[in-house]
Amino acid sequence: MKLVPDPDADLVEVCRNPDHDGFEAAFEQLFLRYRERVYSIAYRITCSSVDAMDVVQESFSLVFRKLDGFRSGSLFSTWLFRLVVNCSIDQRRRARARGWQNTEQLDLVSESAPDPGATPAAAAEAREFGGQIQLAISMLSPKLRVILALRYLEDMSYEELAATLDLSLGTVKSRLARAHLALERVVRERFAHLEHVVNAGKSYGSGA
Amino acid sequence: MNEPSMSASCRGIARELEIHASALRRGGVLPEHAVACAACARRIQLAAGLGDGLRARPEWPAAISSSAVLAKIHEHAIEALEQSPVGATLAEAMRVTVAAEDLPWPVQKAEGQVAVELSQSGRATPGWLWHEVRARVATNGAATNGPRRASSVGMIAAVAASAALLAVFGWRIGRSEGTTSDLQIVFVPVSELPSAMHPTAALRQALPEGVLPLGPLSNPGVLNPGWARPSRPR
Repeated sequence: MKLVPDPDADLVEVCRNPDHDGFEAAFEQLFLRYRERVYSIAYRITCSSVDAMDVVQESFSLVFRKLDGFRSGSLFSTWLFRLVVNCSIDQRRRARARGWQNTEQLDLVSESAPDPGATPAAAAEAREFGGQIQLAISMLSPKLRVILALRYLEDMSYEELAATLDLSLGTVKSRLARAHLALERVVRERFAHLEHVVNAGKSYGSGA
Repeated sequence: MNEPSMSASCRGIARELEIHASALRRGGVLPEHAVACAACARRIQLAAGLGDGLRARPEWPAAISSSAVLAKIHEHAIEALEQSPVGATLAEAMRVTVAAEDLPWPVQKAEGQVAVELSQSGRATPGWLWHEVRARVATNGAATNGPRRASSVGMIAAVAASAALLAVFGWRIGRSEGTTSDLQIVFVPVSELPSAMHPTAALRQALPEGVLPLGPLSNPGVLNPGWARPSRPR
């Protein structure tokens, strides 16, 4: 993995010292910088906006308490996203234990953020498309959801995925390929209309 | 996921599906095998089309922009810390385990939180702090001098010694790393605790009756056995 300077290094350094006068401001800055990205990943994995919000809180609470354990040699974002993935999987497990088996169906009202420049009709269509994709994703196993979420939402390279998920490069590639095939199968079997939409050449969503 | 029915070429396409899909999205052409294999072509086209949906960020709730979220994160952290072994140890350490009769005066007279604070301020009071306290007491004494001079020394001593426990707040804060708080000396009755967020040190020693020590002390930071026991409040 190529060595790149961590854009969060200064804030992280301040947040590692609770005695520092700038601690609160730096922590807030980190929160503001990452909250929406954390939410997006958590939502893709938990398939519930309520659970995703819980994951946001839990993840940043862990950052608050465990930042000492973060080693400066790696990127803060890599470390944070690993926390988010673990918290999301735990949260989903807890939700299932509580009997919320159908969170996917209950929670599809909050879907893809519409493109600000889109017409209301296009925005509604994009929202509908995003909702269907999310529903398809929710039918995959958590491992496959995780890798798709990080790959597409965070545009992570194979190396970054390997570092974040603590996997070998080979496993990352194989898991990503499996995720694609599994998603394709779900779409064909359960959301056949999406394939028509896709083949018609329509492009929805805000894009990367 | 290598399906048994897949040929080696199809499996190759499946392994590199994302790469082919990305190329197609950027206006590239299908790989050679996919041109001849309808299933692979369909697979690549579907993957290319789904990419937009996968990249779309979900709409985040308005609540995430609220400052309450940050407050909840802090609450979450506090709860977790309090429930941790460190938190339990800290809570245990804060309990007063000394019997009331074993406590020196004026701790005996202090109740509740005051007693806790007094019994736990085990650190020796430094000389500079004693000096400051004596200066403040002297200032008080000067202000009340005059017609009542005959009784003032005794009164001051009594007030200082018994009714006013010298609770010094902010000493440790003022001397700890990263902060620059000024010294704050608060005179309070023994039964009260000053309204300070972090009472960190209390002078256990009151003044001897009838004596207003203004001279230097050899070791003012610790209990001075030469001093008389102060009088009780009236």
